[in-house]
Amino acid sequence: MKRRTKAMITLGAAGGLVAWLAVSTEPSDWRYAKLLLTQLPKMPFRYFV
Amino acid sequence: MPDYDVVVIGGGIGGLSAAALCQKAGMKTLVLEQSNRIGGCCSTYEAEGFHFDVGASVVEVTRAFDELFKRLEMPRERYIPLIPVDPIYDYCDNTRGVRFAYPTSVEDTARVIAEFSPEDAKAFLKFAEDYTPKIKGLVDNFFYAPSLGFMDTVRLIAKYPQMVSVLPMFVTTHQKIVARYFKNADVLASMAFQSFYAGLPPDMCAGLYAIVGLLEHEGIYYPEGGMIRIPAGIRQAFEDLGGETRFDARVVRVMVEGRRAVGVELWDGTQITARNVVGAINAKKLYEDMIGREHIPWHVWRGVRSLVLSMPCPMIYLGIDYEPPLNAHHTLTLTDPRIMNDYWSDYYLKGKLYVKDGRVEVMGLISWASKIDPSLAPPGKHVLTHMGLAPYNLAGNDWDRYKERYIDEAIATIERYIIPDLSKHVVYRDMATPKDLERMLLHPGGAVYGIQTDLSHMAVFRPANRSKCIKNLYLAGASTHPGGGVPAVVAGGIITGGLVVKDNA
Ligand SMILES: Cc1cc2nc3c(=O)[nH]c(=O)nc-3n(C[C@H](O)[C@H](O)[C@H](O)COP(=O)(O)OP(=O)(O)OC[C@H]3O[C@@H](n4cnc5c(N)ncnc54)[C@H](O)[C@@H]3O)c2cc1C
Repeated sequence: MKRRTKAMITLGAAGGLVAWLAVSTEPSDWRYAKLLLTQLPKMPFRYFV
Repeated sequence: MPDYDVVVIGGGIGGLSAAALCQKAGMKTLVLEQSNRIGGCCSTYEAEGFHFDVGASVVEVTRAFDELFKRLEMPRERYIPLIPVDPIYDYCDNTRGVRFAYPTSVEDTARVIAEFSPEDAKAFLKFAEDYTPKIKGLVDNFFYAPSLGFMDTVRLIAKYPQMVSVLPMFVTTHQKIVARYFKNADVLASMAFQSFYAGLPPDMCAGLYAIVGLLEHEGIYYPEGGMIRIPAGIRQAFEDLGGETRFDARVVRVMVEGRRAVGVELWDGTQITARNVVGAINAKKLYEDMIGREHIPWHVWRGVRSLVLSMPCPMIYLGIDYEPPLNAHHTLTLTDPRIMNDYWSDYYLKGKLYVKDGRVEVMGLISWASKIDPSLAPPGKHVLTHMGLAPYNLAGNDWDRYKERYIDEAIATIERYIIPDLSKHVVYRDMATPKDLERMLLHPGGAVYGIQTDLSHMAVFRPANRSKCIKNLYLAGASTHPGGGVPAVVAGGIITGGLVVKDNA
C-alpha cells in the first residue's frame, strides 16, 4: 500500500474516532477532557517536581 | 555542626505531623510558624468572646489521626478529643419548602431519601455497596504510601491489587459517577457538591471524589474547643517528645549549597542550619520564592511554574445573640450540578460573583460549631461560619473594598434560603477574603488546598514529599501527596516524616 493511502486511512480512522467521540460524549465530559488536554503537555514536567 | 536535625517551615497540620514523627525518631526538630497561632487553616481565633474556626470546620477519616498517634505511641484521645457530629448535613431551601438531613448511618440516610424518592434510596444503598469496600482499601493504602515515581504506583498496585478497579475513578468525573446512580435533582445535588472539597465543580473533578459523599458516613467529627484543638494536640505531642515550636518566625529563604538544603533564613536575617528542611507550605511558593530558579534544573522549574493553584474560599464569621433555627452542624442549600458547573465557567473563571434574578447569591456551607461545643460562644449566644466560593481577583472590584458588601449579600442569601431574620441577630461579623487568607497564612492566591486537585496534579504529578531536585529537602502539607483536607494532610505528614526518618537512619 502506498504511504499516501496509509496516511489517508489513518486520517480517516482518526477523524471517524473524533466524530464518534463528539457524538457520544456528553458536554460535561468535554470540559473534563479539555481540562486534561490542556494540562497534558505540562504533566511530564510536573513529574519531576 | 547544624543547629537542628530537622527544621520545618509552617506550623500547619502537615508540618506538625511530619515534625512529631521526626522528633519521635530522636531527631532534634524545630517548627517555624510565621504567625502567632498554630494550625494555619485548621485553627480557631477568639473575638469578643466568640471562637471562630478560621477555615476547616469538621473532619472525617479520623483514622489518619489514629495512625499518626499510633506511630507516636501516644493516646490520640488525650491529645485530640473528638465529638461525633450527627447528622452530617441539613439541606434547606425555604424558597421551595425543601428540608432534609442525612444522618451518619447509611441505612437511616436511605430512609430519609425514601421519603421523597424511593428509587434514589435504593440507588444510595447500591452506591454504598459498590464503593464502600473500595474506599477502605483506597484510604488505607493510597493515603499513606509515598508517590514519588511510577515505581511507587506499581508497588501500590502490587500491595493492593484492587487498586486497579479504582483506577477508572481517576479518569471519569465526579458528576458522571453520581449521575449513574441518582435521578432526583435534590439527591443528585446532595451527592455532587462535595467536588468543591477538591476545589473543582462536579464535571471537572476526578471521579475519585465521588466517594467523599460516602466517606462522610464513616462519621464526621468536631474537636472539643474548636478546630485548633487538632494542631494544638499534635503540637503538644511533638513538644512532649522534646520538639520546639517558634512563632513569628517567617522563613524567607531555604539555604541551598550545591543542590542540598542546609537550613533556612528568617525575615530578620537569622540563619538556622539543619540537616533536613521540611517545607510545609505552598509548594509552588516554596520552590519559586524561597529556593529560586538558580538552584532548580530547567525541566523541574517548568514543572513548578506550571502548577495551578487551588481555588480560594472566602470565610464569613458571625456571632449571633440567639439559638439559630438550624438542625445540624452543617447546613447548605442544594444547587443543581449544572449551576455548579456553569458557575465555574461563567462566573468564577471570569472573576465574577454568582448572580441570580439580578442579585448576588453567596452560596456556601454554614457551620454551627457552638451547637457541638457551646463553650465556643458566650452564654445564650452562638457562632456561625460560612464558607463560600469566590474568585481571588474580583473583576472591576477589590476585595478590601467589597468585603462589607459581600457579608451583607451572604447574610441576605442565608435569610432567603435558610435562616429568616438572621441579620437582626448578628452581634459580631467579620470576614476573611481570599486576599486576607493570603496575608494571614501566606497562601498564594488564597488557595485552600495549595495546588489544584485534578488528575494532572495528583499522585506522581503532585509535588513530591521528598524533593526530586534538592537533597535533604522534603515537602509536607496540602500541596503534596495525597492532597488537601485535614486527614489527607495528616497522612501526607506521616509519609514525609517517614521519608525523613528512613533517609537519616
Ligand atoms: C476556608 C477553608 C475551609 C476548609 N474546610 C475544611 C474542612 O472542613 N475539613 C477539612 O478536612 N479540611 C478543610 N480545609 C482544608 C484544610 O484545612 C487544609 O488542607 C489543611 O489544614 C492544610 O494544612 P497545611 O499544613 O497544608 O497548611 P496550612 O494550614 O496552610 O499551614 C501552613 C502554615 O505555614 C505557615 N507559613 C506560611 N508561610 C510561612 C513562612 N514563610 N514561614 C513560616 N511559616 C509559614 C502559615 O502561617 C500556616 O500556619 C479547609 C481549608 C480552608 C482554607
